[in-house]
Amino acid sequence: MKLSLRWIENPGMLTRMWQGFVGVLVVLVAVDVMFVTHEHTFLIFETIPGFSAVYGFVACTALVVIAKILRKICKRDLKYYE
Amino acid sequence: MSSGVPPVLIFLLGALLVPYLTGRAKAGLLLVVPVVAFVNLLLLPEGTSWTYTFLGHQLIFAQVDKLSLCFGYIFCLAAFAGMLYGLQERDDRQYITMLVYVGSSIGAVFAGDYLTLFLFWELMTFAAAVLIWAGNTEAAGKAGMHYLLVHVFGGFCLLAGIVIQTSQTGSTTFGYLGLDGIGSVLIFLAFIINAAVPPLHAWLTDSYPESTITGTVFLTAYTTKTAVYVLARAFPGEDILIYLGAFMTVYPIFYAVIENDARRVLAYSMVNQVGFMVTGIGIGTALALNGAISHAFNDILFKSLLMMTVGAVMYVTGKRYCTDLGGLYKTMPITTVLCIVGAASISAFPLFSGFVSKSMVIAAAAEGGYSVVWFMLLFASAGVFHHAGIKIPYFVFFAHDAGIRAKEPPLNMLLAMGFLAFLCVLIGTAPGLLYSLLPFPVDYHPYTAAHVVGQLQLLFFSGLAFIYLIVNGHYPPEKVGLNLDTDWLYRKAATLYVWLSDKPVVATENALARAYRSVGIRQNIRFAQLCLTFDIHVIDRAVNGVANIFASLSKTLRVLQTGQLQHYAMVIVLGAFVLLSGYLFF
Repeated sequence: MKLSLRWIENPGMLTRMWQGFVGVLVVLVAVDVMFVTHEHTFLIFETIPGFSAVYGFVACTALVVIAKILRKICKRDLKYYE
Repeated sequence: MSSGVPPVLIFLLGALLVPYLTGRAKAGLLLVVPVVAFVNLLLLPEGTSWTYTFLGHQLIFAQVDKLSLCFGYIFCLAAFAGMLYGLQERDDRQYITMLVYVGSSIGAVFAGDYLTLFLFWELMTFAAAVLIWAGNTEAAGKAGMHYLLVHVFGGFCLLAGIVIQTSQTGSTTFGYLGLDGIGSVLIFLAFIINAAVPPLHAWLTDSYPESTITGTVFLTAYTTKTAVYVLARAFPGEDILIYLGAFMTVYPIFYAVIENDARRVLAYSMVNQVGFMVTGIGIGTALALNGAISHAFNDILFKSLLMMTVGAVMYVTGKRYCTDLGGLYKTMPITTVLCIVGAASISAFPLFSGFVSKSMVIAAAAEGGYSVVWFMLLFASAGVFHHAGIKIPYFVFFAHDAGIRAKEPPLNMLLAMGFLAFLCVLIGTAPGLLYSLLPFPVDYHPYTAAHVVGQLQLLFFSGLAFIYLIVNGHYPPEKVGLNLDTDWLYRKAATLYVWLSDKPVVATENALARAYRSVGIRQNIRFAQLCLTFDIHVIDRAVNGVANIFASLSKTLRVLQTGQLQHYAMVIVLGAFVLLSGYLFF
């Protein structure tokens, strides 16, 4: 058996992967809201259903926005130190 | 007498044997040394052994407890995987250096006193520098020199701290220290330099990516983790570490996002991961310390794995920049999958190793009520998924097809990566194995519904953000170039210093010299001429005048001096006559 990852090139595969991904997102939030009990928590944020989802999205967007500003300030030519 | 031998000895003996073997025997030796060292660790009795007295101080070569053993085990595992991975290097200098490097790290971990610790600490520094130089490029030469300068400074801090500390307490035993007095502060400074705490981290991101393919894998595992070990032993519960660690988790991820060199991205993510450990040590509760130590253990596994996959790509393609890579999943599917396992582990996906250790540190931060730190750690968790979890696999193996049709790397590399990937999944699915090695009893269950769902939400929605930004063209594209970091201070500011001494300082000196020549010397000459005139016209004339007077006087007197005896006799007689008549008549 030879391992191949070429299946991701199949037509419509990206759409199906995207749909599956969105499905997972929905299920994660739904499960959190309906079933998960938040016991043994120490901070109030740990008890809010869907908190991690929102925080993850916001954090990553903020990360990229700040990184782009950082690049404007810090980026130099490869030979800068030579 | 205890069973086994001092752990460091096995690696140093192995290093001595390397030049005498060839071919399969050499390969066998390289693989057997870490295995023998691992078995030796199982035989070591707890407590201190191999204690010698040297110049009135006790040297302790084996301080064995669960803390040192935990690091000892992972160091041997990483050495085995690294040696297997590096079999195609065929470079004795590297093999010897690697064995000395691993041996000195293990020596430092088992050191029971400050002197032994210092000895192996320094040996580790020099071995690492030689390993960086093995990269054999101009950049590697410079990077190794930067590395050496920073770490020799750290070593001096350590030595000064040890001297002050031991002269105050009279004891050289290495154990809990705490920040108390200048000696301990210097020791602490040396430790956090090696742990790469920003802004003292740039030596790492500057130098590690310049070593050889296998060299970088080795460097990934030892120096920073040895620093984590000594911090955990000497400074647990030190508040400042919580904040340094939290800062450390956040700071490097911005750089990792915009960095183009794949190995440098991973170097930044090393700083980020060590940040979790430093935070855990700072919180200092049993849960936090267990989290820090288990995360060090896991980090060595998955970071070595990631560094190996990127190294393997470099080995078969000769390329290291994300801009030159992409689309490799087509011809390197095994490496791609192994990289994804490493990425899932570092991102702390449930069922992978990072999840069972990182969550302990985050839980400890929540338990201790450190809400700001908790937010920072979550931010960093999302960030590490972003740059190490998605960016590395995506830009190296997927993204745009760079048209490279490289084959899978040699079998030994694949086996080494497979071994580490297996351990990542094993620890992720059976965390009890790792927990049983930790210094404190573990009463923590990572697989609760709330943990798993919360972590998955964080990761998947971070992924959503990544997709959103990529699709909409907001994601910063990979660009050729470098990013300024604190290494600017010694790489560029040093040039500035040279310029400062060259331009303003030397220029001022020249101006002063010119001013002196045009003003000072001229006045001097004028004054000298004045003196000369005075000398000629006043002093000389006075002297000459006096001399002339005496000369004319003596000329006059010379008339009296005829040199004829009858004249003198006549003068004597006349004189006698005058004196006698004077006596008789007056």
